[in-house]
Amino acid sequence: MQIARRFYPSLFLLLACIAWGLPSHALTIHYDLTRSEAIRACDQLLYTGKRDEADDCYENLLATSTGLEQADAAAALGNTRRANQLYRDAASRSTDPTIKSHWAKLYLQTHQTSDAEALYREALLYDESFLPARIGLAEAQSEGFTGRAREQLNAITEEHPDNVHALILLAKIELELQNLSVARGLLNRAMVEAEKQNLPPLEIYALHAGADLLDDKPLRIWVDRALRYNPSYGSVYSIPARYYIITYRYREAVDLYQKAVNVDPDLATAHRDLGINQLRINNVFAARYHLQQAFVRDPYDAMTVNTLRLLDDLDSMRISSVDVPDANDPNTIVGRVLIRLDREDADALEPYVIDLSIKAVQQFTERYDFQLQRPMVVELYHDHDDFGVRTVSTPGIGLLGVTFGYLTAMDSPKARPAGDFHWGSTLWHEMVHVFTLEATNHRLPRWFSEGLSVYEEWNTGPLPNRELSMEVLDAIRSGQLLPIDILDEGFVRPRYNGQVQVSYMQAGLICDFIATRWGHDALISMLKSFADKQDTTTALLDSIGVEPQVFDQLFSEYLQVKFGSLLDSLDEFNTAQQQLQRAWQLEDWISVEALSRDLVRRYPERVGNGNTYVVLAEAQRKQGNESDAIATLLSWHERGGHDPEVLLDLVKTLREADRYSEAVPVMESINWVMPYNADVHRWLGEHYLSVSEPDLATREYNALLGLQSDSSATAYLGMARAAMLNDDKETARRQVLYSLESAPFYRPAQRLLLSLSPGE
Amino acid sequence: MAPEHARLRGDNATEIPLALLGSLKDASEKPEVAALLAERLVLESRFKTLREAKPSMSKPDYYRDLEVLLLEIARLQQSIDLATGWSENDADS
Repeated sequence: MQIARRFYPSLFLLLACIAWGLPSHALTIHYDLTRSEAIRACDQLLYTGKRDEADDCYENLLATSTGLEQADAAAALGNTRRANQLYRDAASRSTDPTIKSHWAKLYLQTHQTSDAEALYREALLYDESFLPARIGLAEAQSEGFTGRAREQLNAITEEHPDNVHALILLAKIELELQNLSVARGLLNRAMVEAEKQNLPPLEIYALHAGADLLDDKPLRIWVDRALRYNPSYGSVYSIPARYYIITYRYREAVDLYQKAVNVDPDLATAHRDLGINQLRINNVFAARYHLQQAFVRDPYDAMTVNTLRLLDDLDSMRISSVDVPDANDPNTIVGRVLIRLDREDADALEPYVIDLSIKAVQQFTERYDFQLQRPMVVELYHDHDDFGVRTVSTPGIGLLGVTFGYLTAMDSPKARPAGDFHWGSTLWHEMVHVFTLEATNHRLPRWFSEGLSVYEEWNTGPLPNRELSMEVLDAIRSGQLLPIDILDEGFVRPRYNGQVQVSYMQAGLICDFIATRWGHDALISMLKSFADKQDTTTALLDSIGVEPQVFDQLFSEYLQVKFGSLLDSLDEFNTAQQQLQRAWQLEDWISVEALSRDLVRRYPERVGNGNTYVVLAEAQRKQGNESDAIATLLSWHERGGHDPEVLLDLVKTLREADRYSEAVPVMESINWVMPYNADVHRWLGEHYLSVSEPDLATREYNALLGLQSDSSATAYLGMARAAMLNDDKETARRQVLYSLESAPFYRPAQRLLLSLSPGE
Repeated sequence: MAPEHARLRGDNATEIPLALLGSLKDASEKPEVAALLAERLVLESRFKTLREAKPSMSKPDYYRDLEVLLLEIARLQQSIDLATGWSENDADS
């Protein structure tokens, strides 16, 4: 997975607001002892699978009771509008924190977490120690994957060791972090307390099953116990399925969700998750069926609705496939890639996606000693929200690309502002995931999976950029990097803003360090250890003979050698940047040149936002030193600078200076960031024709054609000339006819047509 | 100046008269050139008719007829260029 720097929460909130309904038979277990005796009696019927009786019981209470009890009955029946109104009325007449806590629970059940959080906070204003609200707030926060929820729940379980709900919520978090012994301990404590307090053990059984799943043990014992308690408790399958998802085993998750809907055909969330995960393994028809089933049962679930809409869009995308030959033996096919692109930019992108896919499959097959066992699917979305729905069923996410085993989905360059991200690197990053996930049957920790992808981006990818952001450098300097054996927490339960990005870079640096010191084979050896179900400690010991604590020390020394002088002078660096800003405002070009040159010297890898190469080049230009400015920008480009506007300016300058051969790699770079410039494709096409590279020329003219600009006659003629270089006169004749069909008096095409005609 | 294969968009784009450039500026004053240009108008008209018939024709038939017509146009263009003394430089004028 690759994340973007910016987040777009607004659409998510908008869509979340429409999710205002509950499926009528959603089984929510209430551990809160503030529910009335009468409601709890109805709850008990529901927990034991007596749905009709439970509904009668709630209906009776809805008709006969008042206040909070009546609101709870409406909520239990799935009548959310009525429940909302009843909670509102009750809350307006009382400062009892119980009312707002129950009301907040309704919001949690309808996936409106931020509203739930606000109501729990209001309840705590009435009574800051009110336990159901404290637990509810932690539950709401845990939805956002924050480390804060874990701290809160640890505190609550210490203060109230008998609280079943807090123990269960904390166990869920520990399971996500794969701290199995801690989670099992919490669940055992919860079980004892649940028995004492006569609370249903169903969720505890399901989470125990989740722990066993993560431990590669059979789930049968827990499933049997749960189904004896409630024969239609489908969640005993769908709750553990989540732990397949977080360990990227989507095919296995699909099997469990299928069992969940077999046991409880009305379980809308299981149908939804079954559909979403069928889609992740590219079973589009099965996905549609289950999403429709989910929609019938719960038409207000935003994830279901979003994904069904996406399926309509998916149908209209263009699919192509490419068989990848072995790099050393063109007659042997080492993999097939299916490419799904929006029709609007398919022509412009497809040649590049094919080119990169071939290189990636060839290189990673060899580098990771693994051959693809089924076709890899690559999808690029020109609408970022479609991509969001495709990956997490929610628009407005801050991700660039996501890989689900053999399926990779990502933003196309059109999905974001020009130059916002280097799509070639993102695709490369995601394709590494396909190999590393599948080579280990998805059994590698998150840090190693992301680390290898970042490592490959740096070492074999289409962009030589190795820049660490200032935030990452700050984190290294202030000792915020995590020990290797708990590095996954930085991804799964971040504790500070930006920790996920810091963890990506730390993981990449760790892989780079291992490859530098012990060789790339050490990484392969670790990969195989993980495939054999070993943990990080064992993988390190087996592959490089080092304990995690010793490794952390060695890694720290490596970072000191690599970045020590920069880290030691980071404050001076920031001061120099401020001075540079002042000099720029004063148009003091001599000072701008001196300061920016110094900043480049201190941190030459800094080529992204805020880099000083471009500033230095501008200062050189202002002083009339055009050739120095070009040299500066070429050096910036060589290190991975990829702002498309700056690159385009550089290309024009180089062409004006007749430095065509130097312009070519810069033009190539532009296409991996923003492949929609017709001039660049035309110039590259002409260049590749002039150096007799017909395949590359064809790629460029195909892309030019895909832009649907007014250059189709040029593009077809270019393809005809490329065909001539391949001695393929039939294709050349066809392409030149297309060219002249578009512009019948286009002399260069006329000349080629005449030359192809016998007797001319 | 726009490139020689500049395209006009719209349903009646081909009906818009374009200024004659370079060596063609004086062409209409030479009878032999005027005859060639008249012939060119006929071919342009045939080209337009063929394009309009494309949806109703089979693909092989359409491209076979198109190739024949485009070869005629190309040969005529060469004759016009020869008669007017047109050169590549005129494309930039």
